[in-house]
Amino acid sequence: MAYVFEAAGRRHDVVASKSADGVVLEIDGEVHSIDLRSFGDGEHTVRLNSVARRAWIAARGDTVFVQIDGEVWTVRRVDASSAAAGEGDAANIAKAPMPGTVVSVAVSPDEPVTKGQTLMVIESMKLQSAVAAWRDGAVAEVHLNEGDTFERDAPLVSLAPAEQ
Amino acid sequence: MAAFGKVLIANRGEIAVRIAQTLRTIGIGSVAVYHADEAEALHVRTADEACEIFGETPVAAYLDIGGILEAARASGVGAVHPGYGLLAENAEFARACDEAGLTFIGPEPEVIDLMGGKVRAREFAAAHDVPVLPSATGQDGFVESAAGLGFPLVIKAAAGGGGKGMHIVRDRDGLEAAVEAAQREGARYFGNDTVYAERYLDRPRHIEVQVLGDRHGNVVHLFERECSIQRRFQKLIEEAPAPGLSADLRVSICDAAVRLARAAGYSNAGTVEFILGPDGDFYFLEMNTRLQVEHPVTEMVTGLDLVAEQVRIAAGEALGYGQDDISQTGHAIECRICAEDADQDFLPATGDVLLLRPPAGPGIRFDNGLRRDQAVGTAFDPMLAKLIAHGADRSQAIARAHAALADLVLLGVTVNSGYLRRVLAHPAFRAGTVHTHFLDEARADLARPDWDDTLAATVLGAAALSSRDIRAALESVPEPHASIGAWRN
Repeated sequence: MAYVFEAAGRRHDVVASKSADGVVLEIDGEVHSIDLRSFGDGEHTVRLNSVARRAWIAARGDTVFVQIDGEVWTVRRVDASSAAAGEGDAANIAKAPMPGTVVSVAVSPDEPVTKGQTLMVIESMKLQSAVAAWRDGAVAEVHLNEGDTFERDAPLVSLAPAEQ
Repeated sequence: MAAFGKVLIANRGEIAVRIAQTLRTIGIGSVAVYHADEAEALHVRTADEACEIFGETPVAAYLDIGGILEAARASGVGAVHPGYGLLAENAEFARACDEAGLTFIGPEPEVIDLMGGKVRAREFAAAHDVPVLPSATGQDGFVESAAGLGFPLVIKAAAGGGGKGMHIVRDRDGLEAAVEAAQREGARYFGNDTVYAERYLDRPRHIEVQVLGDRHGNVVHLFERECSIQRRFQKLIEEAPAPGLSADLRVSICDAAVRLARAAGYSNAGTVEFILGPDGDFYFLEMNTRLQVEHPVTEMVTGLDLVAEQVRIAAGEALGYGQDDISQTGHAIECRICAEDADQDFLPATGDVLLLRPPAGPGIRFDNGLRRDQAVGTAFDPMLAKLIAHGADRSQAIARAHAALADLVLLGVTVNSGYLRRVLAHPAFRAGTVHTHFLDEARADLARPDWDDTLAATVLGAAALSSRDIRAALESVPEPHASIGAWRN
């Protein structure tokens, strides 16, 4: 699975997978063995290859705050699929991870979609990314048209609430 | 001591919490005031009682004299502690308290007025043998009288501000041109071509003296503090004692402060601020007629509780000790924790306090008004908390502050704790050779650690693996082997 993160003013492509030794993260093409342990209340140890360090982690929306060695790094998810990671009402709406433009719209209201299906293609910071359906369902609303520009957190596509 | 049954704290944030804590220890009831936006704030919960005050904005509520006096009446307090900022140096408020039959825990309104006017205060200081920066004004022969001050000097437009119409002159040759330029700019920007000249100190240090005066004419000093680590003319790190002052110089500065306070008939805790030149010459800047943000460093080295002293003084008690009874032990450093991005020109930051873990350990004090899930907006000053470290000597105090800044966890809004650590680690700070322009000059040294591959991988790995959806996606992947190093959350 591929993700895009932004931190320290830079963008990083992250691919997560599993191996016999645990989790492998490929960051900008370089492979790292990594492990994260939580001790509750935001306290963690993060092990990169052979070195483990204490880390404090808190997240809100698509932003993760990571404190290591007295410095706090703000990490932002910019891959479109993270927009679906919200909870509650937000679970039905894909929101813009950052300001951008709509490149194309792939679905229309009431259309049934399956998880992973592309709903919309957006462009932010000269990078195109697909807004994919985060679950099976039906499109409730397409909030923007092709060519529209949007701000961060703008609603992009809504799915009808999942049936209980 | 129960001179007042209850005291109203006309403030908010960390200082309101800190005052309420002392009131409790000396057996006096406390009443907080709050705007509706802060109904759940820590200062409201720390005080014994709380009264809502009203205003179009939260700050307007805390500045509304009538509203605060109404709260004082409603809660039946005998005195009001103004804290710092807000109404603390408002003579009108002090008078209004008096007229309402309340004791204002501060100096007399006349003294607030005297020290509140920059020119008045400066003339008063000069008249009482407290050095002020040599300056020259007037039209006839201005250039000659300015040159007589010595160089470098600064020419300022009298009506100016914000650096406009200000010219630093290093020698006689550049003087006429600078005077003309300042006159031109004064006329253009401020409609007034009056200029004045003042001696200019390169790389000055900010040294201030804590004084205490009672209502019986006793005045003592509680030694000096150094506050040279500043950004935008606001202090970030303060310490006591000031490193590297000779014994003679320390005595001269402290005596000057006491002389000024005594001449003014000062009663309350107060601070006389000076700038100190590289040659050991010092000059009066201003007097703050209130408790100072950085008062904890003085408390840590003297063992006195300044809020308790303020209350005793306001109640009419005599100090009960003399200068010789006051001594300093060890060294203390305060770091102001501010919601700002120190790496983006100290831009104020907003957010929510998602995670809060106060630092602890020997000699560590953490004054704050924070609670988890609190929203940090732009309505108030960006200072959220103060971390104070005391040690047997300066290097131990620095080491403790440095460690405690890393122990402090405050996530969800950008704060300057990492930056403060970098300042504490800087060789010039460790050597005690900083001045008020230090943060600007050392900007490159104080940048964040390099975002190298290892750091990026560690931070991104932590962020990725703590994201619920990424973890869920990884867990749903068929496992290549039966046993996999699991993570817990």
